[in-house]
Amino acid sequence: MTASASLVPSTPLPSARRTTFDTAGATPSFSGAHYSTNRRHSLSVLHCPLLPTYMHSYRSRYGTEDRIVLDPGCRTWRVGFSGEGRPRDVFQAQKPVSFTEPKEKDRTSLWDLDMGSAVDDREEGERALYERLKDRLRRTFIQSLMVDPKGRKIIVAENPMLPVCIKEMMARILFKNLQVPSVSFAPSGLLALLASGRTTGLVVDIGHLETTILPIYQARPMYPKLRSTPLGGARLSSHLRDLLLLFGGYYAPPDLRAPPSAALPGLGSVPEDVLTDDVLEDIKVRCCYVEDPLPTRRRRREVPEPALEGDELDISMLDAPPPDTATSSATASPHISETHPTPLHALRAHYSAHTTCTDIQYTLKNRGVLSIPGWVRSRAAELFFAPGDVDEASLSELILRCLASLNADLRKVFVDRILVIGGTAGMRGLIARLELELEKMVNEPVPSQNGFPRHPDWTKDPWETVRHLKGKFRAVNNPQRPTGEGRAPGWSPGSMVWVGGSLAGALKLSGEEISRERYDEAEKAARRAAVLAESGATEEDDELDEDVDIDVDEDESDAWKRGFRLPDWTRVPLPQGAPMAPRRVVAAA
Amino acid sequence: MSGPPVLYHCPCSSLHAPPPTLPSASYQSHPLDMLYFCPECDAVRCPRCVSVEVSTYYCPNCLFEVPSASVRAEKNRCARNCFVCPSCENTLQTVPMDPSSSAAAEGENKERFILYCTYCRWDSTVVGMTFDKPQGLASAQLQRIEDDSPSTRELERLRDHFEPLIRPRTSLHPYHQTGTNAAALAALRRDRDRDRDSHSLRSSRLGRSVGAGRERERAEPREKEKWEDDLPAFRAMEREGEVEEREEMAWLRGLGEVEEVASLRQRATETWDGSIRPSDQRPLRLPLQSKKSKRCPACRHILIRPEQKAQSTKFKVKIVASNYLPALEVSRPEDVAFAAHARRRTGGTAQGTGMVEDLQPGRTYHFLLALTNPLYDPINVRLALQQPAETGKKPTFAVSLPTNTITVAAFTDAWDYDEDEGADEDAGRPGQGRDERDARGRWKLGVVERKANTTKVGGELIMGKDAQGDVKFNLFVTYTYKSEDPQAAPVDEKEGKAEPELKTFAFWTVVHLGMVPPRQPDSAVPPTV
Repeated sequence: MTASASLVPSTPLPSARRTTFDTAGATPSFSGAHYSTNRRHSLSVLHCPLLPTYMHSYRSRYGTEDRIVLDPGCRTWRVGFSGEGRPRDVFQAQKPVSFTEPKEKDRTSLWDLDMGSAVDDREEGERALYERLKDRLRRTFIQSLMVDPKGRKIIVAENPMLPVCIKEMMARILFKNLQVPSVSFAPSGLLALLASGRTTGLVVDIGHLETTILPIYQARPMYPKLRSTPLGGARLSSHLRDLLLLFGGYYAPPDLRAPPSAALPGLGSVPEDVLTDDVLEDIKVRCCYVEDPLPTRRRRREVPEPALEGDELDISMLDAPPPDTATSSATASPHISETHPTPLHALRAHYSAHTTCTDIQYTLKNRGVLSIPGWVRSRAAELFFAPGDVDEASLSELILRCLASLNADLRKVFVDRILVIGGTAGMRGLIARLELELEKMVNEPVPSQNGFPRHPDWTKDPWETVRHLKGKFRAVNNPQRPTGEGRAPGWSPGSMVWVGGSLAGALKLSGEEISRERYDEAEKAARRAAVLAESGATEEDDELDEDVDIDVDEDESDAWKRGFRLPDWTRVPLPQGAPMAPRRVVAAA
Repeated sequence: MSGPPVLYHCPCSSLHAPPPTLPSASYQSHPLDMLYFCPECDAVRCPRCVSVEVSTYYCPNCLFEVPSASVRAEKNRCARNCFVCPSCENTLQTVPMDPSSSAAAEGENKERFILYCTYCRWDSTVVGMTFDKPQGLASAQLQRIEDDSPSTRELERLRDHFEPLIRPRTSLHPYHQTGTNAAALAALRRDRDRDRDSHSLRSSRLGRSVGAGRERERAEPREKEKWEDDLPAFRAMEREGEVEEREEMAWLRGLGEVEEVASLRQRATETWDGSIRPSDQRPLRLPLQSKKSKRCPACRHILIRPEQKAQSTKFKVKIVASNYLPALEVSRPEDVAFAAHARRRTGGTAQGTGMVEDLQPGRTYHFLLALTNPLYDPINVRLALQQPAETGKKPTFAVSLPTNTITVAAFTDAWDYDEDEGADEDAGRPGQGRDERDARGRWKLGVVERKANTTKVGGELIMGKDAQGDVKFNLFVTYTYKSEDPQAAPVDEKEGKAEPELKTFAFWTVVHLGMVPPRQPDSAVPPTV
């Protein structure tokens, strides 16, 4: 969900973080006769986000008011009005949006994957995040859109992996601080599909923190088939950083106070502090692209070198910790040293010989010049296609896993309807390469299993069930395919979610609308209940009930935890007769 | 001389200030000059909680006030002649195309105009834009280009594409209202609708898993090509004149200069996946700015109302906290010598080295807290320190401040102050005053200096052995003032009007005294095995 070619995408968190998978207080909003027909088959349609609002749309059809569409990512926020072709404003959310905001130098995303590893930190981290979100939402209305929020209905695009707490914080800020009349959350994948002119597809969102894959069938997201991997823009940045520290060159700026006879500084190794997040981002956007895979036969012909055995290269294992861990920026990564050749060196040996890509001199602002080797430019994104492991599947593995988990009939539906979105996908050549990799994987046997342990199931061919799909893989927004033949419109992958939101708003579609009255009532009730519980009174004390001072002293930035419970796919009760969890998973737990 | 400003806590997030070391605390306190004051609610309001309304839209370049009706149509951008350079974001100028050649061509043709950037020398001939007349470029010509952009056209086409999918369903709405069985009816209809809509594709691909009853709906597979799931396949617009990705990659492969690729910022708002070359970036109309009025979020009382005219910098209404709350300023007299040559004022994030000498663990420091009264009556101030949280760690530093009531004189015009007080102003900078030490030369906890409407009190800071990081503490300030408003005490009239009611107001502040520099890594990091 990010800028045209922005490599700064949106924002998911791993499913483990969604701890609020409870069914008790859920609103059974989408139950009904509608699903009774297909309840039994394995396509577990839990939630139909668009259809219920077809009913609501009649009322507002003659309204002239456009909705406000927000696509809030952990890096990039797109905000604008529905019915318009482009957002009014796109801003980097990880940076301070006002000069009163405390500056945090190391912040590379608005929230991150290890939000709340410790409980104390979590509460405090959530409080700070609440304030940061408040600043950004206020900026959206006051600076970017310059409208009074009180009269505007809001559509918020939500990634399926967006933590519920962030959703609830945003709802609270919108209702309480900005007093908007209604908010609806729409699944980002579905919005992107709408922008591509269809309602069925396998949406691959290459975000900043992770990549999520969600099949959507006839506007119904199939959440149980959601898959994710922490490969994304952030990982690419840290990989690029490692490559540049090892193989990049650096010309320090000339010292103006030095005597004129002194020689100009020559090519040295890259100091760590020049590779800031902004510089890496800019290099990704302006210098990097994705080259075609090296032909396999050439690889086989090569003299086998110990570290070079083609497929055994595993980039993801060699990576430095992701940039949001505190250590990576401060301390030198221990594996980066010229004396101990790392598998990164093997990468260089592997790719640098066959590249025709030119080296680039990148001028840093007042900080000298960075020399970026050509093979780094064209091969940094190999990270996404290197074989993964149990925890972190590569992009192509993840797509195949998702397809394999689907009903056999549905595999055929989705295999030629892959939609790749997210800022990182805007890299030139990435979508076409992904298509190639998928074909390659179902065509070639799974490489040998030696090395580190892989998934226990992988002793047999993991792609057995999808091999018959070879030749059919198609990304609908692959720019290298000719127009026509159902190719999606030429939106940039990063902005598709916002465009879809704009389209949905123009069509008067949205997810379930939550009105401010509903929100306020639920909140009041929750507060009253809290006060009553505290004072030890029971519900029967009617006269007390009226007099309860509900203005309890409460930390405003914690209040989102109580009150209205937003509808969310993690809170929808399982349909009757839903299959049990697979026994394998239960045993593992 | 003085450190970072004393920050004032706004009660919008929590009534009591959180411990200042917490990361969320810094979002809740603000410099005094950022804060507003609602006289109705008698409360401090901050930029994070006031409700904001736009009172005027104007173009920051031509200062034209744009009526709000056309703001929407113009997409918040200037509709006159103001453009942003696509390569450097400077404002562009409209200039005659080529002064020398235009003179020659004057006879047969009209003069043509281009946009030109005086900073980076970009001009609009790069993207093939020339204009017949120098006025109204945005509304007449550029807007047409924007409206005709592929993103706008494609969005319209998508809208037309989806419209039929929605209409039959919305027409069900009247039935939906009628009764209890309406919902079921609607659901049924929706079901039927779906079957009708989904045509062959759904039943042919899913029929088996749904059940045998659907078999009859299986239609000819030929339909597949025309229908994309439940709606006709959308045919994307032909992308004429766009660079193929393969060509673009070949170009990137031989790239020599980074500047040949447009940065993310330059194409941020573009949703169409167009060219990545900066030479294809078009100038944008300048975004408008607005003057905002601000209201209290609770009682809607107006706090800020600017004058309508764009040129004016005045306010019709300006109720700011600095007119109500005593201003606090903290300084360390020891720093005076040190800070004399550190002229630069940095913002809230003083890194210690900038202007304030770093604090050292285990030492004792003195500081001055200057209280300035903005009211026309004297006030009585009491200071109280926040008790450390019970669960928290042992504090690494201790602060002592006078606890008695401190009187701060009223704010009056400069010539109304007494002669001898006026002489104080010549006595030199604070910190070199006479009263800092008592007779025995010891540091005095208490009032050390009174000057006009400012009173300075001395405080003491004792650093623990293991102190680290920022030294800041919460200070609770209570002050008593005479109520100006006679209506405020209508019930207690027995004492007579001559005795104005004394009112009390209290607020939290965060005082930042300095920073302990991080220790050397060798001592900070425990030896590893």
